[in-house]
Amino acid sequence: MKKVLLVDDMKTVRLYTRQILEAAGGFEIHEASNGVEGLEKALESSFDLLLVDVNMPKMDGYTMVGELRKDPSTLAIPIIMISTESKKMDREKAYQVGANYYLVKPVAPDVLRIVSQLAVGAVP
Amino acid sequence: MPIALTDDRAVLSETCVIEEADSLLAWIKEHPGGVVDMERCNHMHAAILQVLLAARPTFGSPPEDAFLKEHVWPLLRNP
Amino acid sequence: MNPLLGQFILEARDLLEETSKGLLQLESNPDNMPVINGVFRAMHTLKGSSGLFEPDFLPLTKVAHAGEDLLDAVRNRELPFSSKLTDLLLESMDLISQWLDEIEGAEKLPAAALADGVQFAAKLRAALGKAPDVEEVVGKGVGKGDHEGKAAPSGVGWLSSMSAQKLAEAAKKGGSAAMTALCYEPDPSAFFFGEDPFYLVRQIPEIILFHMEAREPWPAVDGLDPYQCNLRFMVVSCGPLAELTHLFRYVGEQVQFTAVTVADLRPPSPAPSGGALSGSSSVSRTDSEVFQAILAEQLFILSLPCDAGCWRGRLVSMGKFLTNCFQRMGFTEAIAPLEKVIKESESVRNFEPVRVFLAPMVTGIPKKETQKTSLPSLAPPVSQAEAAAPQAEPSATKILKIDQSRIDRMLDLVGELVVAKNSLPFLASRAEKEYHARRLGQEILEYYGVINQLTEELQASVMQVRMLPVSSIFQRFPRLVRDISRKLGKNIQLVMEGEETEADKNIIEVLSDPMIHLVRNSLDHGIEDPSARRAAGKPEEGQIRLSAFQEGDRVIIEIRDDGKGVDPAVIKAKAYEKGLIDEERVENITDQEAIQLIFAPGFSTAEQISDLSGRGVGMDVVNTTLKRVGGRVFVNSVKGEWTLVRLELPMTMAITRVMLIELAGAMYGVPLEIVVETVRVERSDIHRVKQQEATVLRGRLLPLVRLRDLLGLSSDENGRREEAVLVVRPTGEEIGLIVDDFQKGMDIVLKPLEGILTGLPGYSGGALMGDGRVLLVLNLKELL
Repeated sequence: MKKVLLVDDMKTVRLYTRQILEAAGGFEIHEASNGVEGLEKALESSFDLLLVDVNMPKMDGYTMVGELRKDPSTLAIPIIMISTESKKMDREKAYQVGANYYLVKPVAPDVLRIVSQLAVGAVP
Repeated sequence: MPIALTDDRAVLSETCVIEEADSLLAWIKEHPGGVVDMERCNHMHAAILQVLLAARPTFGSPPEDAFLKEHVWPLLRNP
Repeated sequence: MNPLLGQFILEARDLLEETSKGLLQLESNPDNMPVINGVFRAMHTLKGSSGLFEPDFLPLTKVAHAGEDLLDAVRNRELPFSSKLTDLLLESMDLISQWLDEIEGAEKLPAAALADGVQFAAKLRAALGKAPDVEEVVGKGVGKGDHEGKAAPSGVGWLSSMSAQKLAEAAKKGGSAAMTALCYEPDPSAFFFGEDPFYLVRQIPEIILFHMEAREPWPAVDGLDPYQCNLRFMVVSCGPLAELTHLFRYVGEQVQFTAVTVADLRPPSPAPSGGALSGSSSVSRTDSEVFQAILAEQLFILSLPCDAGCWRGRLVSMGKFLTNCFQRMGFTEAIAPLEKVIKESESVRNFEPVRVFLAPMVTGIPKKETQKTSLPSLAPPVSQAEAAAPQAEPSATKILKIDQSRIDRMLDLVGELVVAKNSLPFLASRAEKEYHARRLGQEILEYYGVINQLTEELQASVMQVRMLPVSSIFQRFPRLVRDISRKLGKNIQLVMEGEETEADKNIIEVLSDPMIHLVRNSLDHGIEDPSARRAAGKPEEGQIRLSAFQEGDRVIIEIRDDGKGVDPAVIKAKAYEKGLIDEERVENITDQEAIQLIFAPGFSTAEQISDLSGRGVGMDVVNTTLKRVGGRVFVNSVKGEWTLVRLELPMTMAITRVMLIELAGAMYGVPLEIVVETVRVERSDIHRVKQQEATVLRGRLLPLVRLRDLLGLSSDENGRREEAVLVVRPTGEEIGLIVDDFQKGMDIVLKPLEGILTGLPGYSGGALMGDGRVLLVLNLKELL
């Protein structure tokens, strides 16, 4: 089982993602509703993948990812950032802080599934 | 920033606003051998862009700004 | 229902409420920026969640999107806020709300929704004064799921005039992604409108092809007017169409959008469709398409500048990410070489080894065209300004949303805890008397004291959790008053005070319907229309005042209007007509008393059951509703001047102590206050006196009643030697109730019986026990 952390302030979105990943199978899903909670959880246990929303209260996705990349225990975790913005600037910013991939909402279910499976190296 | 006009160079830097279009055009007319330096230019108003496209002056080094370099520069050089 | 759908509906309703509330606030205070932003964000979030359910909820997304754009214009000060705007937005909230109701029931939108949605969205956009939704511009070609290989219509003839090289480059950059070709010709006077078309064009996301040219041939330099815009921009972008149309929303009529695919980027030649997606009709992406996209993106990442601080993270995480991807795709032979180049990159401190390794894997990009990577700066790391300030939110009261049933369960458990703790004193007594353990008994009592204290506090806080402010009811009235007063052509101001006053949630819930009825009464029958008010010498604007406050242990709600009041004479006449009072009463009844007659059953003031006031709810229903929870209602009025309705309610729900008894396998409750004692009587001690069974208890005759018979239950089959008798005193006289057995005493929250059990005589209410069973509490006064 691969451990995934979903970080998004909207419960509907977390549920949506959860459903897709549960249907795919092989994922143990955890959730956080803001950057602070996400940061804490990611530093506490070791995840195989983080799916991080950009716009969140308390601490946004960029800041959270930036912090994680500074810590040796989390600097190598595959991180996918998800945002409503598709401007080049936002995509670049995500990569600058250390994301490995960038998806724009709404993410098609099959894309979400495939990217997640690729990112954790799930054996087909 | 205002366009710096000297005898041989017109230097565009940072953001160039519409009000400068007239003076740039006048300078280009009066300095046929002059070089337009866009190296440090980040953005120019469309009016200025027009002047450059229409008047076809001599250009100096390519701009550092990514957008201008990738999309605009080739068209300025070979319209 | 799918929990995701359920969650969406919940959130959507909250967002609608937030929006409506904000809009009403803005009506009186249009410059309130935080509120404007709040309303905008709510619409934005709604659009986002709704988007998860496309294509099913597309109409909802459209309307929300249009609303969002409208609000965006307002907050950018491009559009002034107006009453008309509020109307329009409130209407769209209503539409969405209706749709949510439909979704809750049928789990999908009604058939007309798409047409309605498009129409409504157009209406909203029209208020912006700009071009309608681009779908009309582009034609039916563009919509959901459209990005799958439709040939470009002739609108993009300009594409073929591009150089072959440019097209090829664009094709490589775009790959299998969805593309939009746009041609933007700014108005010649654009600059005079303050526009900078170039600035707009720069914001186009994901440009894969860029071209600009002169619309008319350039004049000679001497005759050139720099301030007449002569530019035409032609761009192909992989960004979402919605974003593109949004970007150009103010110059919509100057831009043409066309959906294209990579097939359109090939120079005209009968080449078969290359590239993974062009021509394919499948909607889903395959693993390898996504994998390719990921690879290409990694190359892009490598080209981005990186300072020393994040350098290692980028490299190592990319290594892990790619290793996993290779694993998943089955390219296991690539894993070891990848590790090698990652290590190499680490030692030479630049990305070149990795880039060289990846580049050939990405189809269609020959090595020489990839951008050079920048060397990481070896200077001290640049401080990241963005890390400085995380978005701080003032920590106001933290709110937790809880399921109501969980609170009820807590309350039940607390009740049981209260009863359970009461056994301890008896235990202490037994310890002393039966086991001669005096010390033990005392210690038990000490601990009982502690537990008792804690339990009482616990009980108080759980009751407190159930307290809700009356604002939860009041908040619907601004909208209600606004809508109805406008509909009736009356000018009415609503004043609310004391909304923070709290009462138990069950009581608040009970208040809801009566208050709506009373306010509607004031709107409909109370306040006169402007001309009547003028004639009466009153200000044209009528006022309805809702006040809530605490008086002792009661909550008082007052609804006061300065309308035409209640005419005692009319009431008397009506009551007499309906046979509710006789002639004598008509003579000597006071005006005050007469007004109270409106609460009499059968009176019903709603003789015109207008669609506004009439649910057929009369004042008598308001009266009984309040009585059921232990409240009262009063009316006072001066004819022609004002009417005041006063609702009095207890603040908390009463906790009743009951004794549990067993009857025919079921449990019933008897209020402890009427219980005198429990006793077991031998059969032989039960005598028949006339038709009545009785026994002698401490020298007095105690009449006995078999509760089974009283409740119409079957007789006890088992002949018992001993009967369990509950001695009660409901009204001064003692009676013994024969039951099957006694159980413990218990604290319960008595709730009125609902549904088909409403008004059943003999029961004063019911309660839910800790184990989920329902307990019926007997009203012995009625039974006996």
